[in-house]
Amino acid sequence: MQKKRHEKKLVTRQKILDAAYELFARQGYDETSYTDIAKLAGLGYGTIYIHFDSKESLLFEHYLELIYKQADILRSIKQEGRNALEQGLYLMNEVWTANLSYPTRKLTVFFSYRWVSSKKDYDRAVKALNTVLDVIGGYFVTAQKEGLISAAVDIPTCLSLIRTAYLHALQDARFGEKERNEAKLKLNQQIDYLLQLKTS
Amino acid sequence: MTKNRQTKKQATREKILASAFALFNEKGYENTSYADIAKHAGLGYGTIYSHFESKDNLLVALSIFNLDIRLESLHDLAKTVTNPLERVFTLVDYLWKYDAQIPRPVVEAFYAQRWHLREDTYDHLVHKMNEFVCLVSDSLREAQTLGFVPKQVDVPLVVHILGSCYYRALQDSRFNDKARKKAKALLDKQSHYLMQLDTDE
Repeated sequence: MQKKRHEKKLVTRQKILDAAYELFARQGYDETSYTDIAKLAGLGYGTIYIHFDSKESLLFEHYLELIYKQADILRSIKQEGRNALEQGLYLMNEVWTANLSYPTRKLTVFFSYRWVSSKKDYDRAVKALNTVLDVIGGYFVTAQKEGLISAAVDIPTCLSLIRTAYLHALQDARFGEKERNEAKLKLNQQIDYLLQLKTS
Repeated sequence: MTKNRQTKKQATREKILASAFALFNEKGYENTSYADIAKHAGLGYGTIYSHFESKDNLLVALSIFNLDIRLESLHDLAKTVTNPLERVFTLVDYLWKYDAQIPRPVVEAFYAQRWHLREDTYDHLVHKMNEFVCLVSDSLREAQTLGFVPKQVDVPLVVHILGSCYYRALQDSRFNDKARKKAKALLDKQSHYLMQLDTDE
């Protein structure tokens, strides 16, 4: 009995999310209201509110799913003649490109929400981001074993620093082509420095 | 005469900022309206609007106002520490303690809003924050000249990365004392690593 109710709750939750994602994609995040979502999901306004107390939290769920999908995509990318270090850096680029192809407005809402979210949501976001990072980090660990990265580099600490630098770069990159290029350049510089790669 | 008017204008501005600060803290940023601020400050809605054309601008002005106060005390503090490496850590610790004193809702609103700022406002803020960055950079460079920090440490880059780490530590520390301590420990660890200092001091 208890289990059934829980299952039903999950079905409703998914129904809401599906409706929200469809509307965000079709008419835009800002243009979508709770009323629109309720209508498409065939549910009451109040039901939606019980499941998600803000539109930001709906977008948050959407973005989390995307991050996990991204991790799957990264895992499936073959090395194709790249060594472990090149592959790690290549995947770093892939993530950046994927992130910037996501609408800036939505990206902004997601990262902004991280500053006001509950601890539970914050931890979930950290976990998701780390999943992506682990895929890339795996290649860096291999690269170090193969002598492509100096033994003096502390990979876990560096990965954590790269994540931090990456999020900062995303924030700087929001305004246009020029800012994107500058942010990316600076990020690459930091990654090279952290991994102690000699570049001129 | 003009000076008098200028002083009065400045006083009004500070009054608005003080009211906004109190209300953001009490009701949260989203739930505070211009009308609330006007009422709290005992001023007209129009007066507030003539000082700050949007709530975002107000929040940023508030942060810059706080930053300016901090910057002054940081400069004073910097003078009291002769060892430049020790000075770097003293400055960071001071900032950290200061940020803890600012009510959490205001800090969170500020950093959440940073993601939404218009380019000119964002640049203005970055520019302002760079004054802190310079203060830390100068000390670290001095420490390097004296041989406290290895020559191969790229000071500007390291300070830039440390800046990002600082925001992240603030973000990680939002929830409770335990999270706060953990975030600060991580920040210290990262600082040592980036400056290539021996961690077992």
